[in-house]
Amino acid sequence: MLKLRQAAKKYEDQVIFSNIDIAVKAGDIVSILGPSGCGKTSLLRCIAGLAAFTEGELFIDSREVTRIKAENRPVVLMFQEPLLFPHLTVLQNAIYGMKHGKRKLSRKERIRQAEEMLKKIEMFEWKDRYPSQLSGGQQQRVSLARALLLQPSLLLLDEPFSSLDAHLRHSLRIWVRDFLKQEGVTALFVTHDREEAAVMSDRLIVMKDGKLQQEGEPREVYEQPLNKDVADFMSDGLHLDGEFYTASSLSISGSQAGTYQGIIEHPLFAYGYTFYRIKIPELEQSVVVRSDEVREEGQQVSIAVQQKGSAADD
Amino acid sequence: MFSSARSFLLLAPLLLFMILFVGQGLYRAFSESLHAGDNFLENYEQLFTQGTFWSSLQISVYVAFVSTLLSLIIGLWITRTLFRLFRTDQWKLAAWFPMLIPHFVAAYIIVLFFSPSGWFSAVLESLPLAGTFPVLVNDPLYLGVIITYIWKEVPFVVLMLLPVYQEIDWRMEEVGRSLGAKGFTLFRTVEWPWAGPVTAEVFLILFVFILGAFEVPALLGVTYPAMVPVLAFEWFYQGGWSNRPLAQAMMIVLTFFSVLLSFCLLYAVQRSRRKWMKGGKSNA
Amino acid sequence: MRKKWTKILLSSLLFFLFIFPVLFLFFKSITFGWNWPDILPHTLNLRAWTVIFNDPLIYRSLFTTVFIGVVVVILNYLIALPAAYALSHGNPRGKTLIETILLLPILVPVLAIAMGLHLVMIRLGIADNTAGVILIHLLPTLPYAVRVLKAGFDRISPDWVKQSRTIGTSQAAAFFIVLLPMMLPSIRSAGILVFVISLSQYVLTAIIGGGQVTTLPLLYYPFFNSANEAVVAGFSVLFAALPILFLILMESSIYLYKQWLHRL
Repeated sequence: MLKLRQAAKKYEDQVIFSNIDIAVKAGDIVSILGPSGCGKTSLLRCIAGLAAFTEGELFIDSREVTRIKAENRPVVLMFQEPLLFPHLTVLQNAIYGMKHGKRKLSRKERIRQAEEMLKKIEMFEWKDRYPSQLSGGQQQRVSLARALLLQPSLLLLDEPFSSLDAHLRHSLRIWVRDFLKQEGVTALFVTHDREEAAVMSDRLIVMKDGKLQQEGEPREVYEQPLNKDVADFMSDGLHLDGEFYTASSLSISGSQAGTYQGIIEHPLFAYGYTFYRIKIPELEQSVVVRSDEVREEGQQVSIAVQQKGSAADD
Repeated sequence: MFSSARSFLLLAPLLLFMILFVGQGLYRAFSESLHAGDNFLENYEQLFTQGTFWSSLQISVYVAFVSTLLSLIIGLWITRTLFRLFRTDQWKLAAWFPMLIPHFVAAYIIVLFFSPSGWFSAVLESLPLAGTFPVLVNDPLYLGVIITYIWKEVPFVVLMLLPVYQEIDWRMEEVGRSLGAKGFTLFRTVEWPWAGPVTAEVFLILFVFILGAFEVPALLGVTYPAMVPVLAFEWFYQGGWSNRPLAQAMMIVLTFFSVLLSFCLLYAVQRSRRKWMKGGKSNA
Repeated sequence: MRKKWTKILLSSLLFFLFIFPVLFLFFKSITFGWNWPDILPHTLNLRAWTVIFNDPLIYRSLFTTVFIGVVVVILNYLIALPAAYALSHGNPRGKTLIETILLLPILVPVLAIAMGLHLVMIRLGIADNTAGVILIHLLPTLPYAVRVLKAGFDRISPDWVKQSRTIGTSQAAAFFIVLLPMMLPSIRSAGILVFVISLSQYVLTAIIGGGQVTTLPLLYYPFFNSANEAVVAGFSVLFAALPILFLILMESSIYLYKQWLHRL
């Protein structure tokens, strides 16, 4: 489906990213996860054709498209913001690509398809409104419809939910994932939010400082991060003697041998449980651990680590 | 924000001037253009039956339209290509420069370069090519006048369009490209919704200005057909002021024409913009 | 890369189209007897400028022109500044209508208005003199002044004024200390624009001045077809030089104003 080989982008003397190899299977949603400035957005723009790779080859549907202009590539990029054409109605926006762009259809046919799509995204009754009359979430849905109507081989999404408020973000991303799955769309998704990446994607790729760090299924990456950077960004836990222990293998206990001394920094409440952020001065690390007991801020506690391999005994 | 009453207090001198000068001027011009006798529209009837008037109107509309259109096309093209450069002050100054030159000086510059004894003609003469330099100054096609206006108005167009181009959200162009739009479609859907209304406004300002301006055609035009303002100025002083009502009738016709055009154009622009600008109501 | 070259090409084209002709004008004025078909002059000298500066009529009208221009600029400020402020930060009823009325002198041939006013101004005794010419010059200048100044006020948040008022400065002080310094760029642009427009008026001055008020353009027109091209070129350069003179005048008053501000 998508195959990227040894891709690199340099701008003047600066390396934005290098040695990037990515393969995406048809029908998969793959996330590229990384902190801001890691080169993930540049990578996406290069795949979209809006910027050029300095090195490497890009294949989409087994066809090389490295030198093909953005307007001729079988991919569509969705931006952080909806970026609907303000002077066009919802329906006209949805039709845009089928009228001027990558999938030219007759007037009748494009209106039929656009209306059908607007019904699917529950925006049909808004079809004659202008973007300024829609909420942010509605706009982003129309933007998605506009992209999907082109039936691209590959849909690129650049943090499409970051401009929305937290509540809307949560509901919309699940909706979008289900919708993409239902339509069988292959998508490459960029985000800095690991929860979003985990929710949205079949596979994820962690990127840092312009390099790929790890690739795998979300659970795999979370439980077995390959290096410290990936662990810090994608997982929760402690680094001990060069090994990483996820938060699930840690517990708050009384003071015993083989434990670490920590100070409760503050509680966190999520999904019906209470978690505590604990600072461990001797390791110069902090970790979040679940606990059912009520703890005070500033309280001294011990952290017990369940050794690897002994988990099955519990 | 402060009250309406206070706003009017601050606006008072300006509004007073407008009423006393513009309002009164137009009113007087109109009343002086009317005939004192039974048939008060006699001056207009006389005007409309005169071939001189019609050929003047024709040449005026032609010069104004061609100059405005070409200035807009060239100005738009320059703005689109160079608007990123114009962020710096030196560049803005370069664009400002011709604005400092009065129209009649611009006319003289055109004479220096384009007249039969001008510099271009001299250069052409020194080349081994055969051929004489065409008459571009005081020519019946008013080419010299048109060139002068283009030279003067292109910077004005650039200056008016520049803020628009610097505020366009250029990500929209990437959106368009990613959806597969190219070339003119991109221009029409990304730039024109913003540049269009300002272009219409500039068109109006320039067209009306050139239609009613005396300075350049008086120097570079021909006696027949003269542009309307030149003819009006001539009639205004002719035969011991006896032709004055006719001159004023002619200028009133021009005024009416200008106001009508302004109204239609501004109304159309407003209407199309109000639909989609923020807070607009949908007609759905 | 290709784009960069287009830019360089286009910018040199711009230079040749818009700056070079004016430099050529200046060059022409320091030549003598440069006649067709010579591409370059044989000699350079200042004879044309000697002719210009020895003409007492030009001297006098130079003074008249600058005087009229400066007064027109000041009147523009007095009328347009409060109006632009009200249109930008105030909320007058019927704002769209007012803005359309303000556009009228742009959307109507000024010649028609001037012709209509001629008799009235004669009767009021303000035709055929400088006062009348100054008033009629307000016609083509005011709409632009309001426009430029309003754009300037639009860029300033009303909060600035509010903030200085809450500290307890008076309204006038708030204007001179807070608003005016922020408006300086727009004030400067409006001033130059108005001055140049006033400098460029021939027909309004001719009608209302009745030949009694001789500004430079009124001398320029009879000169236009004169055989001595170097003199006309020099005369033309004078018109380009006057806005620069005005700019110097303007910058020095801005400098004085800033000195006054710092002393506060």
